[in-house]
Amino acid sequence: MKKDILRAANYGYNFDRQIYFNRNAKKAFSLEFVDDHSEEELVRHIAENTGGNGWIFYFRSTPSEGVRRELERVLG
Amino acid sequence: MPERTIEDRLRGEYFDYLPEIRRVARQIETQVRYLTLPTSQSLAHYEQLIVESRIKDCESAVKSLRQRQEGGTFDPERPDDYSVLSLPDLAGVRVLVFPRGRLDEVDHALRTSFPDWASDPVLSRGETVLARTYSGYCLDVSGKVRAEYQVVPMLIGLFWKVEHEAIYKPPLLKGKADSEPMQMLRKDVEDVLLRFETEFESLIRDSA
Repeated sequence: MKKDILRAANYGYNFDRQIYFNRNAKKAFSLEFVDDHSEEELVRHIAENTGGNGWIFYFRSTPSEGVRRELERVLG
Repeated sequence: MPERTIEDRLRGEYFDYLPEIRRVARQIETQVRYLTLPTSQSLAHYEQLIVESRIKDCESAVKSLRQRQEGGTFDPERPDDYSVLSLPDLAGVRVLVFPRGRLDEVDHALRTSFPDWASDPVLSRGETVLARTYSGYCLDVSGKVRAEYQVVPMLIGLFWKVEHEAIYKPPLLKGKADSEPMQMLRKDVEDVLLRFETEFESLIRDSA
């Protein structure tokens, strides 16, 4: 299951924002994105090397700068 | 003076429409009570039917709207995209029925009067319909404020009510009570309550 894949990769779930996130990897997946993609695609995105300099948001619709700023504030 | 946030603007909109929301709640509650009257008057001694109405409070409305956005976040660059009027349940009625044998009858009685309302059932873990949920407009009263009615097995509905008051309302638990273990336990409780009703109905059938 996708949830198990994310949990095994140390992704927590923020119920208020409805996103899976990993502070070390600085990646966040929206529920909609997870629903839209296969387990294989999810594994590939989890493994992607993003440099870790800033948060990467895997969303169905690209989040605006304002949304990114707010989520970065919430995720810390 | 600081700029109004999207949340502040939505709170303002909510209170502008509150009188209309109240009128819609009264209208839908009255209609539902009238339409379920024949069932209420023919209940066996062990059967129950309760009609409850509620108005979504301001903060719940704002939060609910925010959580409908991807990432649970309003886009500050598009403040005009959001309106509390897009919520389907600003005014709501819940019909609690015990046991489940009467659900179809109540659902049918209401559906015939609200045939165009959109259906959005609440499902259990096993994809069983827990609550039959419909939303639409009471056009006699408002073409802007949508209302919702739910037909729910009473045990499930009462559990939701207690859970909501205990877990979601207290500021102390804000953001903490919706954890994964609590979500799993909620599903467990719903499963057990459904099984209880199934067994109860089987006892009633066997003793008839």
